[in-house]
Amino acid sequence: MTSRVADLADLGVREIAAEVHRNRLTAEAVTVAALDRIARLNGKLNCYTRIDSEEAIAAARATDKAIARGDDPGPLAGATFGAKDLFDIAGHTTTAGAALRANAPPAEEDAAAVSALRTSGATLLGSQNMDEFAYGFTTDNAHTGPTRNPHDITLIAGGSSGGSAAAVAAGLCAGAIGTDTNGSVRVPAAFCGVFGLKPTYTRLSRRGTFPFVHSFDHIGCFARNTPDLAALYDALQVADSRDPAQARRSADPSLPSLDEPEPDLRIATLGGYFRESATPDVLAALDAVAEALGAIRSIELPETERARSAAFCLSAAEGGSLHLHDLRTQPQLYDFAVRDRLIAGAMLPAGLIMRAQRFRRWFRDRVADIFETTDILLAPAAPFPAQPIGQPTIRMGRGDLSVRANAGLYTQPISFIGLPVVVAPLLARGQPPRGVQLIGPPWSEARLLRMARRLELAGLCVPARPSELAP
Amino acid sequence: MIPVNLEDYVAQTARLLDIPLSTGGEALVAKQLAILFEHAEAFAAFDLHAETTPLPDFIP
Repeated sequence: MTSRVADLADLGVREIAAEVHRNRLTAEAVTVAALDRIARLNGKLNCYTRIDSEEAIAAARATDKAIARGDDPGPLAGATFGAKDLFDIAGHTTTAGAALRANAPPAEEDAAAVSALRTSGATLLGSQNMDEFAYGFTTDNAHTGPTRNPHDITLIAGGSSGGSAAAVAAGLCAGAIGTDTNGSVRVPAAFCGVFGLKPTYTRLSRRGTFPFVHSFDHIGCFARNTPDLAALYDALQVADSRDPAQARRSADPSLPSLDEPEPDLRIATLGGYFRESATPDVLAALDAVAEALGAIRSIELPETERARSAAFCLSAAEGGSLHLHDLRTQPQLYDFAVRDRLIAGAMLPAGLIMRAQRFRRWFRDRVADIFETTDILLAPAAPFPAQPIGQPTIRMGRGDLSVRANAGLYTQPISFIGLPVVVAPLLARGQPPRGVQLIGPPWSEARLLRMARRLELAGLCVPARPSELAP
Repeated sequence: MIPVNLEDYVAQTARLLDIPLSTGGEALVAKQLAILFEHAEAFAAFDLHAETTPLPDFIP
């Protein structure tokens, strides 16, 4: 183990925990190294909106003391992580990326997900940048500025959990937690070239998170390799009696079976809607993954465009309903682009919302039928790679498309029906990262992680060190 | 399905919901609402057998 600070910040979740458990490395040294890298790079990348240096060092020292006493500090001992700024952190204001919440009272306790990782021994470094109220795919925040992509700082990081994905890519933490309503873990994972997991709807407790769309908000996580992603997911699987929406299922640890073989899986690529608007390099990434996993079959989901439209309307309507009080009393504090979409959502007739919900049930049942004969579906995570910051549109086959509205074209229909997804990143020299969604039926997270692991071991999905990390 | 005059719809609904709109705000919100109605037409036109297709329970 090297003692050079710059190298410690490159260690992953499990590497750190293993070294700390063996007493070959202190949690404090790891935390100091991460904070040092944050001090060096956060001004350029804008991943963190608040850095809790003193608390992080205190937590790391507590871990080291536990080791010294012979206590078990937990499976993630000393591993550093960051949290999207919509997770409550005791003693700090949860801004949800909004000026409107800048003076909100501090949280009285940690969000369930933050608490789960801290209980497992991980060290929280701070809160990370996001789109205002999680309503966007760019993390170009009107109040806190854009998070820049570590692979090319002229490009967006994706959103809405862009600060978290970029921080993991740049080694400003070993892992991170975010949320995904319409693609907010999967799109930034793809754009920043890291692994991302959006588990099945209701799998993980959402207590202590600022909501966006109650009926399809998910907790998710990011890491630079699949064992780390599995370790984070396993630590997050804590039953929480205070989240009435959490599924009452026992934990299903994914890490112990990560390297088990999965013969004879029925894997198919999604065609039709999921290819029509994609750039050639995105399709090339999808085809490479399909070939590596032996997916020779292509199938189409029925009525996917309608599903995306229904998700689009439900997001605006539920978000508008959630924000109605503040839209009435403090509309001037919103980013105007977010505000106008929320107001429009609040004005949608109830009859349309009911039809969207009924269509959702229909679509969920049709996709469930497909999973009777298929185990995993493959699709691009986004129709295009990361685009330049501030560029409103991208020229595609159908004409000019809004980047902000269409980055979630391939993710929205999937989270709409709550399916679990792992995003596997592909990096090629001279190109921005691309990501592929591995989609399974409900509760198949462990299998999806095993497939992502297979891609990683095959050398296809190995996140590269971003060029922006050069001294 | 789409109101004939979206800006009027926005202005009237904003009054009913007690949402203050800035100068020119009707047009900006109407632009967003037009996008939503366009999406809504996509699924609203689909024959769901609405009387028999239930609302979703827990998604999984």
